[in-house]
Amino acid sequence: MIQVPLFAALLLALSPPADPPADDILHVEMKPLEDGVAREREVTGLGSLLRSVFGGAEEGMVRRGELVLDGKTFAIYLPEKESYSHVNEGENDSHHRNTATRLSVDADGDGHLTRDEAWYANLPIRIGDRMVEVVDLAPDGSRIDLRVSVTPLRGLVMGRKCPPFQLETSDGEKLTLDDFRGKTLILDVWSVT
Amino acid sequence: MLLNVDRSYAGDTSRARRYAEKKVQVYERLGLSWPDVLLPGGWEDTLRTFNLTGYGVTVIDSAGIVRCIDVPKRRLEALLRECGALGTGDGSDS
Repeated sequence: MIQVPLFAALLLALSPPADPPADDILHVEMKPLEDGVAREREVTGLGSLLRSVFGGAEEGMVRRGELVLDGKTFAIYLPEKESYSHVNEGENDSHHRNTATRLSVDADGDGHLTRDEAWYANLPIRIGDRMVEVVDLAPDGSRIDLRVSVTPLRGLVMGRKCPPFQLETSDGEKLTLDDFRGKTLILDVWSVT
Repeated sequence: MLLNVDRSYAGDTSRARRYAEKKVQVYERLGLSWPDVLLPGGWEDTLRTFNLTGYGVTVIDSAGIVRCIDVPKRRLEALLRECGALGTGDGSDS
């Protein structure tokens, strides 16, 4: 029989029983919001025209959590959904097919959520100038597990640097962000379809 | 830079080019170049690279900082002047 000193027995009794979490996982508790916070809703076509006349269409957020990254606190929000998921079960990752939850990160801390602060949970999320991946998202939205990612910077965020890109023109010319160094760049997304 | 997402609709891009001739008149009036980019993945490319999910214009200044996303048309020229892209006489363009 192994005799354990009394103080050691007390210490073991008071210690948390669970395995320690992986060092690189950031756990964010998402609490229900009492006062609503709205996010600009994506609108195109006639919606854009109506928005310009009547003001922004908004989507209410129902949960809020906080993430500390690089010494700064960022608020994360979830919209109202029956079930939350960081997995995309759609045909592709485009906005029109992506079924993963679209969460929001208040990048500038102004309490107002704009479209550039909305991110699909199945893709790396830009927080500041770091990329973060959703490792897990509780189906009831009560918790998000994140991990700092080494994927290249992506996403346009107001007041932040444009991410690097490599695109090809209709003439076959390759264009990168460096080609526009020292110049103002306009990105105009359009289609005729 | 024009980012055309028509390929994601598997459509005929020749119609897109004719439409673009009208669209670029604004940029030509402002004396700006307009590289025409056909995104092979369409909306998937706009989301993965830029996290853009809708039509519209984004302005990035000469320091590479995003100044405005979905710029209202009526504000575009003024914003470009703020960024020094117009009327500077230094040959800069976008």
